[in-house]
Amino acid sequence: MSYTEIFFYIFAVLSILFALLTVTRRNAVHAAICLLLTFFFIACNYVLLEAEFLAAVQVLVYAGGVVGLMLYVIMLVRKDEADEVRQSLGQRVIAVFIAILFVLEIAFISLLAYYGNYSGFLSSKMAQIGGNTESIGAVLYTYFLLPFEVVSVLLLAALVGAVVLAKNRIER
Amino acid sequence: MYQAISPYVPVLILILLAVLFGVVTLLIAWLVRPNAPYSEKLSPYECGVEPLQPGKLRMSIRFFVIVLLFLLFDVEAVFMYPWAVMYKPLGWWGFIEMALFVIILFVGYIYAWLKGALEWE
Amino acid sequence: MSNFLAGIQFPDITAIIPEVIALIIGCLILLIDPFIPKQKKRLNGYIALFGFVVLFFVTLSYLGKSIVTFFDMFSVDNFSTSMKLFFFVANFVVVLISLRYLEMEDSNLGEYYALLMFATVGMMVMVSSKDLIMFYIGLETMAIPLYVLAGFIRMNERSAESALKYLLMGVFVSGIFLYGIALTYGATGSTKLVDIVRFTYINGVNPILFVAIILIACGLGLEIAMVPFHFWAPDVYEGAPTSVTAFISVVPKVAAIAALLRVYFEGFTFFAPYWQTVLWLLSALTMIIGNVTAVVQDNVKRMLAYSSVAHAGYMLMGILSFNELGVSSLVYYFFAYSFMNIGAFALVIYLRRKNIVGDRLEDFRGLAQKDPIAALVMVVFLLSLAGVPPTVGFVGKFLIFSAALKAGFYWLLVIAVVTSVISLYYYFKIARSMYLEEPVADEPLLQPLSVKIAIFLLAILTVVFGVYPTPIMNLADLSAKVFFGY
Repeated sequence: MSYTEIFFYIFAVLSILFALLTVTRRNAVHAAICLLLTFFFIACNYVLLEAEFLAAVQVLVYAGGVVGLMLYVIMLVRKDEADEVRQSLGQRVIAVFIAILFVLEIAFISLLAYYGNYSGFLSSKMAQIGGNTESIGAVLYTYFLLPFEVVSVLLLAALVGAVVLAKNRIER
Repeated sequence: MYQAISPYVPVLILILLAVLFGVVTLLIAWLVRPNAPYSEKLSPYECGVEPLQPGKLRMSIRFFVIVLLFLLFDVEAVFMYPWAVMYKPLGWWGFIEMALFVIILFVGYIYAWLKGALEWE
Repeated sequence: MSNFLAGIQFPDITAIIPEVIALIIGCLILLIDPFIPKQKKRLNGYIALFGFVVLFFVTLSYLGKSIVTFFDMFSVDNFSTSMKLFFFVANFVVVLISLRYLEMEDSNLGEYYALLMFATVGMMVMVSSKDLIMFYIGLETMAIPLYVLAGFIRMNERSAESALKYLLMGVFVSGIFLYGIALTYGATGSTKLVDIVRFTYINGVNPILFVAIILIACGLGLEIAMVPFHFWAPDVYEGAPTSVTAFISVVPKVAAIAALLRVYFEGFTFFAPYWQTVLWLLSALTMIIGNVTAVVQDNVKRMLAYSSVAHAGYMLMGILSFNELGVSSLVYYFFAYSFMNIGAFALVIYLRRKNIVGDRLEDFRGLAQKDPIAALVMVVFLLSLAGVPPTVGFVGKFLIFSAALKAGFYWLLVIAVVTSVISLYYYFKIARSMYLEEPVADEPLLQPLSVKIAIFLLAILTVVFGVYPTPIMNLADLSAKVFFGY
């Protein structure tokens, strides 16, 4: 086993462990912290796959921003109110079904990648440009120029929306 | 493959050291300290006074705008990473693109400022 | 590395001028709104009105041009141009009916019009794009302002609830859409419609793409409000501000259908028999469930919500016909649908007064005695929605049905005709309430001028283009040539 593989298994086991803890913890704050660790270990695996940009996004946006937002919302909701809400909505069966579906799908795609010649195609192309982040930059700011600029409109609209919804409720 | 992850080895060492520091400190404290709890000692410490409120306070909705603004500018920052590493080859082309992107978001920033979303009141 | 940009062609900026103008107007409203005193907030609305007029004429000059630029991602053709013209006409009317309504709801903020502009930018991008990523970003740029607009009324729990429902459904469905894009990319190695067609032409049909086609339809299905994804519609339509309901029920729906049409026609051309079957099923279910559920509604906004679900079913028939008549009849139907549906919602706004939303069936009781002209105009809209001549609704339905007939979908046609007959019943329910029942003594009608103008404008358009449909038909024929011109 190479070093990469050893680290992969360590990170994979840890991320699954914390993902399990996220869904089983009763305390919402603990669950959010576990989610943060899950995101972090997934980011570690991205690094091992040489997807540094994805790892950076994972840590910055998901571990940093989204979990922060979740923690804030948990603190916003009053605990006594939250405790009255029914904890289980009977979605276990559906959840298990969807989980099985996803496992099957990943297995199917892995098989395709194993028997087909899909693997290794992108990495060699990327290496010519210099790496993962560089190749994203090379494509995003040239061929995907227009979507990139429209994203800024999207973010602007989201910003305005956030201010409108929150301010409307503060002013009264 | 080892070559590829080598820049991250210092990071790994740093994380291990950080975790180790916390664990070792707690461990030593646990070994050295006398263990004699009583009810008052176990109650939460609030400047020596009896606790006035339960520890869980409701956060102000005002933080909501701040958190959301943070998230949006976080996403904006993410878009700058690939641009930064390709800054030289992209040249003026990339610079103008990024300038447009930032200007559009800057309108939003000015708007939030004018609306007083960044003020605490 | 050094001449990295050498092989890259500079995109044709002229293609996106309308989008840029819309964005600038939106930003302008945002920036000057804080300086406008509270009594003069209407100025924002006037800027938006003026903006849509300018955009209309700028876009009109693109008619007949055909530009594909931004690396085969963005296309200006007659179809996208006529769709954009449609957006400006519909949005103009929506702004007109919003002016007074927002004041009544005490939510007259400039952001309303700015968000409307941003949503318009998203929709314009959507109808012009020839790339799935571009579609997705356009869709999201359209959707996020919509969520906010649905919750726009201050401190109104119903409005907030509808916004939350809309957001949750929207985020869920946009995930499905993304998944469809990912599968397409995985199977073909590109998100561009041109490349997808080329790949399927060379390599034949790929089973993964079958799944992707369904997922993409589902992703757009939320905005279309077609059957598996129609549950949000009545709740959101009822809770959202009425002017926003008028907007959501028409413009984003049309944008999504136009986008779906382009993806299927240009990207998955070789899968036509397959997606025709899928859409056949969806269209039939949408027409049946929409029309049958509408019968039992007592709230006019909910009834119109189900009726708009049903109309989505009719419009899907235009796509699945997959012929020139289908596209042109669809474009005609878009215009027809916007006149009559926005008109019907505008009448709900017309009835809005102190403590009365105007969306209960009782609010329409005896309207013929209180305001005979308003009642008459409402009857015109209802007749048009039901598809009775001489209105645009009739011409639109007639064209769509003949397109389906030409394509040989006889059973679907039977379903469509039968459900149309059912729809007569619930549209008639409103008319009966207006003419045959005695008015209730309550607050007098406010009769705001801007709403009056909008209603009469729409009523005139509904009748005039029903009798003389040629101008819109010409536009529709031009757009259909984009797909079947060769």
